[in-house]
Amino acid sequence: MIAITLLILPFIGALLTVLLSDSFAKKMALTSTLITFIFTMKIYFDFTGGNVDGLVYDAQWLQEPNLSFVLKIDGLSMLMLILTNLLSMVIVLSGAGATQKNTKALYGLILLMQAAMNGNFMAFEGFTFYVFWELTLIPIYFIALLWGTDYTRKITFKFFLYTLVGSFFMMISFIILYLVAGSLRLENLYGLSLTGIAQSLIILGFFLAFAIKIPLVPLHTWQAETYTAAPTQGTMLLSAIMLKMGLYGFMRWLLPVLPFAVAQVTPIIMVLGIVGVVYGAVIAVQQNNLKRLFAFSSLSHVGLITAGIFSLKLIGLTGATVQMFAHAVNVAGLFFAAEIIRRRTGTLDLNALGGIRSVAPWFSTYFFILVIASFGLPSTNAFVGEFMLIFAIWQYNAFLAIIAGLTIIFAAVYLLRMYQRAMLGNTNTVTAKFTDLTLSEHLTFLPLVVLVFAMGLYPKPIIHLVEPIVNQIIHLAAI
Amino acid sequence: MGTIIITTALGLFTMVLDMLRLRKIIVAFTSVVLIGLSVYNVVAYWDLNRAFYSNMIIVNNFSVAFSSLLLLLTGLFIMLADWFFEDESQKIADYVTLFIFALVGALMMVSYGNMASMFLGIETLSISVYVLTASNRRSQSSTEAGLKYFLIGAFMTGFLTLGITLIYGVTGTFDIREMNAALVNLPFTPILTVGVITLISAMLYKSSVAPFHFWAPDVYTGAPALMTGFMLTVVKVAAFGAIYRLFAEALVTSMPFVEPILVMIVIMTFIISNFSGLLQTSVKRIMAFSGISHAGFLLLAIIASNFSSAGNLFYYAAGYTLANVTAFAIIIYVSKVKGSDQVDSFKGLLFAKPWLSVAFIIALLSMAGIPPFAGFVGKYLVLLDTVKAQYTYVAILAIITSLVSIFYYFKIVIAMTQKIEDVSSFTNPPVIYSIVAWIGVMSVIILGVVPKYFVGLF
Repeated sequence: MIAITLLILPFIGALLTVLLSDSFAKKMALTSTLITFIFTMKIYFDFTGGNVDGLVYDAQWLQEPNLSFVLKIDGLSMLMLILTNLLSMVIVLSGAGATQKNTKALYGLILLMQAAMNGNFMAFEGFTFYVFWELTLIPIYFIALLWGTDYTRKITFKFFLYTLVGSFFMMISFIILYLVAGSLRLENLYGLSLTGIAQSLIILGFFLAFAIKIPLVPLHTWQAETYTAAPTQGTMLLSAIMLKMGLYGFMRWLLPVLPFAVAQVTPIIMVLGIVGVVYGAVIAVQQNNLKRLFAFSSLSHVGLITAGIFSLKLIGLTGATVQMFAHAVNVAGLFFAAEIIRRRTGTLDLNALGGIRSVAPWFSTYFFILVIASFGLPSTNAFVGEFMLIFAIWQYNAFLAIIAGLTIIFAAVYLLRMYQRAMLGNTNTVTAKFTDLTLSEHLTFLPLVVLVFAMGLYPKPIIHLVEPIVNQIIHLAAI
Repeated sequence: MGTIIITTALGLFTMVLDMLRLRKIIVAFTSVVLIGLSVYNVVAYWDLNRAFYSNMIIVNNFSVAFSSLLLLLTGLFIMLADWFFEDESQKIADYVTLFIFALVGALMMVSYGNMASMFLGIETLSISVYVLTASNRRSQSSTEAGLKYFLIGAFMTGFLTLGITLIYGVTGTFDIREMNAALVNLPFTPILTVGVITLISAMLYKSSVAPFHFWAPDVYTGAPALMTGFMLTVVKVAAFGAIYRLFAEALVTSMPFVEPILVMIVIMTFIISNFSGLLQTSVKRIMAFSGISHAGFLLLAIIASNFSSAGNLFYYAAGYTLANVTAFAIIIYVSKVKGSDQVDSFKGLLFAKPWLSVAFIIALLSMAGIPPFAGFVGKYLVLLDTVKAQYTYVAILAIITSLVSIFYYFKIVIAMTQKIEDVSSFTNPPVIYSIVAWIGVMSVIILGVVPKYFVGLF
């Protein structure tokens, strides 16, 4: 029953937000996300204390075909739930200072999205997973379409269609899996004996769905445009949480279920991941638009995470989970910093900015912390994850690791250059009247900045949380 | 059987109400009776399994479920009639009566036990719908649509009679069960082959699958919007009910021979309907092509279940038609206030009428097959059976063409979300339109979230 509460709470919050007036919407949404987050933490402490009662919800959904509605919380889900609910709260809070139209609809959709993502991370049955997977798409599509910049129609539709291509093919994968296993419960899917053609069909469907969502090169062409065109809260949802659904999908649904097919495609995916690392970094260097720059930087970082996952090493998968969390925190912070700059100056163009540090010291400090965290300075969160990931890739293939490692250092170049152009130097007419942060903006940055150092200095709780699950995944994925 | 008699009586009584100058209550009265009847029908006849009038009408769970769906759909559509026929309210009784008589035909089509009663049902339905299609005699497109529908319909009726006659010639009976029993022992003669093929062609024509769909877009676009909605739902469901009965009870032995043809038809339907849908700019025409594509899914549901189970067919039909009710409540509203059913007239609807638009968007998402709505679950179940029946390539094609269909469904969604300066032309529709739209949406959600009460009933 506890598991399903994490669906019901945001859903009720969404309903209340939509039904109340526009002026209450933000407060209502914030209250709802706060309650959900507190509840998530309570589950976490129960979980680490060994109390696992009620973390499974299992109901027959249809008798014939045999489909169930199964939610379960284990270490990996727990981590993703904390991530989702913490960042949902931050994302709702980040809108506090903004002037938005139709706020109740916007926040209703954000909360709906939160519910769907929670469901996605708790699903332990294919059909449940698929329903939540698709369900996340509808709110984010409308958020990007209705609250984005003026020219979003084509861009968001491209994004929608791209993701839908992936998930529709995933539906075929689940159908084939069902016909082989007779059920889509995760435990029944482990250790199936599948024919070669079935394996390749299934892995193709899963891979398309997950790789588009992450996105992996060459399926990334929707990403930068969508991130730029969507409202910042939408971008934060997409980059911080929704993207992780794809990575989580690899770990939960691809590696353990299809070990033989995975062994076949691993070299390809490793190379695609590393290509993504290099490609994202190279493009990011040339960007003048802050959001586009962060989008490509994110592309570069998730390529590394994917490669780490497919190294199939304990340290690689553990590093991937740590880095998933760290990347979410950092990228949410960076996009929020971009949003603050846009709110105050009306532009995201690096050429027009400069000198903000002299007028907004607090903002500059937070921003700088997030920047150094993003390129993985030791003692920040991304360092831990990236170190583990590169170490695992090294064990797989030293050459790939060298390329990846050098490119990740390259992130320091474009991020620091960006920081220099935007924040340092003399103020100009655009940035002269830049005011420092308001209380709500402080409150938005604070949890992120605290997490940057907390995770960087003491990542053990996360590693401890996911280790048994990662071990299990590697055990199942090893042929 | 009682349901058919009461419905017929209701049709006649509507005319009496007209004579008594009680026109104002006709719509309310008939729609309430029809919806009540759809509930009564389930309560009274579920699990009864009886045959009436020497097997002319067979009432079993299949026919009860389909009859109730048809009654509900007609009731919902009649609710929309008052405002739709605002300008010619003196003729409201004629329209409602025709709807009800068409419904009587539809009810017979899903519960026949004899080729004669099937033929009677089809003709009762068709003649009423011919008139309804051409009912707007001031509009050229409406009369054109009526004439087209009538001419091709009459032609196909010839095929239908020919098919029935040839099969009668071989088996010596009109009764579908006796026919089936006779066919088991008979060799497959050319006469029988021709009979089966003509009969099936005539039935497929009614259900508007490719390549028998050429009349459909023109007729659906030309007919007044309310009739289009009626044809896309009630007529289609009735046609597929009749086809299922024919395949599962009368022509079981011919099915192995017909199956490859049907699979070809499904493939053609998916490709033709979805790619043609891309080019359309009229919402009614988009819905027409969407209807053809869904007809492909309905036929696939019958094939994939190996002609022996109508559970998925019913579920899919219910999900599709109820979403269509919502869609047409809004299409009728917009085409009436804007005087045009082009996609452009939907611009700004989301800001002018947010709740109606949300209902419409949900209906379109359901038709596009996106969870958690009924359209998705229906597609999932059908495709599951399709892969199980070793037609994986058809399932993959269905998925690809469904992706294509997203383009035309979202053409409407995107138009609705476009901002326009002046939204004052979207005057308030009668409350009943919102109610009907949300009844459709709620049923689509309920069907999608708790399908276990509606799947695998028979």
